[in-house]
Amino acid sequence: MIRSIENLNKAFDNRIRLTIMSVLFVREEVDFNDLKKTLGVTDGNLATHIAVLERHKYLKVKKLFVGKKPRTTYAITESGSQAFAAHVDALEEVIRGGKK
Amino acid sequence: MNELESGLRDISAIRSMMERASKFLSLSGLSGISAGVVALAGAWAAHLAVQQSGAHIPLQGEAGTGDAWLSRFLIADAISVLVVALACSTFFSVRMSRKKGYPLWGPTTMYLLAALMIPLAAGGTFCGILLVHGIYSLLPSVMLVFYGLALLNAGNFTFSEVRYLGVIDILLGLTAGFQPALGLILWAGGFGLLHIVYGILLYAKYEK
Repeated sequence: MIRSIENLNKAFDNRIRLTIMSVLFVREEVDFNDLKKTLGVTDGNLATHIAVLERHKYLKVKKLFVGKKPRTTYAITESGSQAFAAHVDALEEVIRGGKK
Repeated sequence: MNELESGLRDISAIRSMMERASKFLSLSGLSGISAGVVALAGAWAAHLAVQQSGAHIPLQGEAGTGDAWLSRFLIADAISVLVVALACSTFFSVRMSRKKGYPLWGPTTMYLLAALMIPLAAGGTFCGILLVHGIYSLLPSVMLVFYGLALLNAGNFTFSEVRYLGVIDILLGLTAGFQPALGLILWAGGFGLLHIVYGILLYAKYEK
């Protein structure tokens, strides 16, 4: 049990970062506003947590222009989805260990 | 256990967020109920029209004996049912998305519409083909089968219970293919009764 707690990823111990990863895990590409609406958080809050995940290289940012409007989209990286899956496994182990 | 509790909460946050991000959850049970009622009314109108004209055209196997009035009435009837049922389900979905605070128009809406519309467009076109050839007897069967396939497909992008409705509709449609005389009754069952039952179940489960 102690081992599985060590396996939990520090980058995902924040609920907002955890839910960002959950959304990116099931969607190919999500833009900022859509992510904001789905999570129900403020601009600044979301931007901060996205920056953390980007620093870990768990998500990649794509900036493009639709007409003159900038549109930023996010997608999970290979290492991001591996890290997220490992984190969920570790969570499961914690729960299983705790239930015994 | 503190870790246990926070772990459980994390897992449930992950699960609900994944569902919210990948599925259209504003489908209301009331949509199903209203679509079912409209379908039953349409089937009843079709039944009366067939009786009144004294013909057996859409029910019996023989092809192309239709009088023009009846087939025109049946086409208009079917289109009205479709339009009114769509309007009702759109109305209740908009209402539910407002109530639950889900975005109505987003990628999940588009996934759902694409999943529904492609099989439905194919089915609608195929019904047109049957009409062109005067094979009225297979219309209920084709409508049920293609609608069932559309629902089976759409189940990936909304409440997964929709898939069961799809499978039952496919089976009803195939039965109607073997037994064209039962076509209208099976159609009323699949589009009317099933929608109502399913709508009530969905309403009880997700909306109370």
